[in-house]
Amino acid sequence: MKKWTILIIIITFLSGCIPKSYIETLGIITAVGYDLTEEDRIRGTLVMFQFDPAASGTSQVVTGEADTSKGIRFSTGRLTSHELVSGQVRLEIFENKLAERGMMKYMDTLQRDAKVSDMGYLATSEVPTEELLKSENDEDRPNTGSYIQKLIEKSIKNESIPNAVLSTFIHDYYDEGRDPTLPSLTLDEDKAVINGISLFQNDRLVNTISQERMFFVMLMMHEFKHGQFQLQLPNDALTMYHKKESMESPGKGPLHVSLHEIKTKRKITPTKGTPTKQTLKLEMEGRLLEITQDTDLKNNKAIEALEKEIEKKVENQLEETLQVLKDNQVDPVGFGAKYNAFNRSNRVTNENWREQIPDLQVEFQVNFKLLRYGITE
Amino acid sequence: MVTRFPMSAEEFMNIVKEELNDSPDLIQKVFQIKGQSIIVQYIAYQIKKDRLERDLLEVITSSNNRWTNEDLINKIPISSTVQEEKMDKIIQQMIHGSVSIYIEGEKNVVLFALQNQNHRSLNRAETESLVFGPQVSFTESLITNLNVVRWRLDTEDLVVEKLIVGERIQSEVRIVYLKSLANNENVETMRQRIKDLKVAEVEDTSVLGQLIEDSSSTVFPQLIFTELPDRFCTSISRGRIGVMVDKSPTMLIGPMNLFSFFESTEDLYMRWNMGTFIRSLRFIAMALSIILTPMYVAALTFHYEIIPSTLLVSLGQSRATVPFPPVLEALLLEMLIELLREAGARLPTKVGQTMGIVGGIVLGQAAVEAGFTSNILIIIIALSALSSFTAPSYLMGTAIRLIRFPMILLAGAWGIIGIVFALSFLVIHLLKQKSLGRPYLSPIYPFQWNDFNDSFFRVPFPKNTGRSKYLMTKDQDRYSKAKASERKDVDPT
Repeated sequence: MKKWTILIIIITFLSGCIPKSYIETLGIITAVGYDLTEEDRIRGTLVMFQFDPAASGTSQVVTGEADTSKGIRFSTGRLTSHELVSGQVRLEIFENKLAERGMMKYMDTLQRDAKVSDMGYLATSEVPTEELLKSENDEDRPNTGSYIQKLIEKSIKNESIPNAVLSTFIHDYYDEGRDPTLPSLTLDEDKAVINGISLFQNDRLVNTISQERMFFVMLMMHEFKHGQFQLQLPNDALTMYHKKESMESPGKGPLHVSLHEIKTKRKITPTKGTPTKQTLKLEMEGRLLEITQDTDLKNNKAIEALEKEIEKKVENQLEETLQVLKDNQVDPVGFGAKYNAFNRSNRVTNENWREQIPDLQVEFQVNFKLLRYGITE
Repeated sequence: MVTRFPMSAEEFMNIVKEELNDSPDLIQKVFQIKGQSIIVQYIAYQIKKDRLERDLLEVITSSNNRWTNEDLINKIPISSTVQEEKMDKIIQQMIHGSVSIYIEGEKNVVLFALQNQNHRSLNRAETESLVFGPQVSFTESLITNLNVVRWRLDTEDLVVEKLIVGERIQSEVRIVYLKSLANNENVETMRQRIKDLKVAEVEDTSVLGQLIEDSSSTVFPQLIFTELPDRFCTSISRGRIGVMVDKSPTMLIGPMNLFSFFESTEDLYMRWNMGTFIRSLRFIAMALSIILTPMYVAALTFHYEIIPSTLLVSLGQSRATVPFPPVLEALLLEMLIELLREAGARLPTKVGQTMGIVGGIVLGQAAVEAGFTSNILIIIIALSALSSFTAPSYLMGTAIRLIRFPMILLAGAWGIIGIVFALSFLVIHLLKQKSLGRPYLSPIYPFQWNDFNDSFFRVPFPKNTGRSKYLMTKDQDRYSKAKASERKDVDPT
């Protein structure tokens, strides 16, 4: 009896020690954007849900300025009757100007704050995030924050951008010989869209790789399971395999191919002792979806020629993309980390790798196999 | 009171009258045949009068010889006859429906059993109904029930022991088990506990069960009560021990473990995959029933982080109008469901259905529209109430509904920590329980992999050749595994 009395007393009194957060009294932040103001302060834009029985919409966007990222929550607190909480934050966007100064100080607080999910998405923005998050679009239901979050989530699933969750960013940052990447956002007709991949030197944004090159960065970074892309091949590459029947002018116009269901196997082999000399072997498989010139696909030789052309083009594009990365002195692929994984001598560190990146020589060996091209009769 | 036969007719009649408190229904009649006084006494409504007159009185009165006790026993065509000389035994037999005949001058009284019992015939089961399988249920009559059990367990191995319980009002209790299978220790425990009872009366089997169970402080039943002969007999044929009490339609089976409360004989009648599916459904339902509402309370009070973001808006919107904290909201609705259940159980069937509709649909709908509760909680509460009704044992279902309330309170006070606390407490509590001295949480603790065949899964019969280890049966194998899977088709190929 005594035992039970003590237990009941403990339950009754101790329960008062836990702060209660009833869901209807909260302003639940789902997305945060950080901008840099002229006075070098941080302007934060919070997208949040708050539940009022009378209000028709549940979504609200508030903006506040502060000197620290967490300070924004206090400075915006006076703008809403609900208590702002960050336990549901699924997306954090940084304006490029802010990201150029180094992201780690913000990452650090996000990582240490147990309330913030490590699986939240990160992105950089070319326009001020305030504009991005305040943009109004039909697709933005229930709010812009969840729209952008779904956009990034879908793009990662589609294998068009590399993984952009907080834990990946931090892992890449601390990994020796590898730089993190993030999706880059911009506004297009008042709608937030992905326009490329941001490249980082350690935690500082240096450049953004354009949408067209995104696929080739991904080819180096990632093994595809069901990707898709299109290529422009030389106009006269398949002239001798044009269909005889349609003499109209089959070779007229540029030659584009659209490929999907792409599966890749990637093997990076560093040379012993010299981290700057590496080989990247790429086994690709895919289905031909569309070809803009009237080609006789029943002919095995045509297929072989097509495969050869694609390989050549992909190798070419990979070289060009690598040059962009070298120019920016970044290594999102992790060639340095790969070297470290195989070699014990002459190891790569974050400091010395940066200097060596411009000397990086990668030999690309692409092997493309066309699996199916549809019914030809 | 010591009475000594022989005594005079008048003296004997007076004693009987006095013993029966001047009962107005006591019939006392003295026949004078060949100078002999033959006293016939019985209680009017307890005996079959037509048989008394046809088989007994007619034979006695039409005889030309003087009667002796020997003659009474030998010449009268009634099989259950007893000679008795102790007055209290005579009175007891008369109350149970015997006719006492005393020939003046004899040393004994002869008693003829001509009981007239009124009881209902075998009926369909009401509380535990099966969709598929035998439909008959036990009745209040011990004789009928024993008849059913004997018929189902047609073996000389079946032992039926008789015990008498109750010091003021006596009840007949039978312990039923298979001699070559049931563990002696279990039988001994059961017999001892019933024998040691010092109670005034036992109203029903469920009362007896509560008197002999291992722990009376827990909410969990430790012995199964059933009204289904097939369940009773299946349990006995697996080596359990059954107890039957006269005047009660429920039977008692032990020892049991927690998981056997979620078994239904229907699982055996259905194909094994279906049986396993339905059985696991019940376990999931139990877990849902215990966890769901406390989880809702904890998430909405403390842990908004764990709410899926797709659910956040609809949950928040429906909560926004509710004036109570989630604990109170959940307790109110749980109370509502319990009220509906209780009212439905007390009302006659016809009214009960109307009430279900009024309570369930009208009240639920109106409560949400009035902003009294959130509609998601209505779904959760309904789901957990529904889940708790899937337990084949009604008592287990009640236990599960009961432990939900402290869990909701703890979730409201401490959030998920409270839930974990309550669950840990529950597991410790269950580990401490015993059923007839056997571990209650077997086969999980003590761990017995083979026993999973009979508790969590319903393994196909050819594969399920062993018996449950925790019952400690004398015979550990049901049948030979090799012979069970042998095909005996007469097929040329």
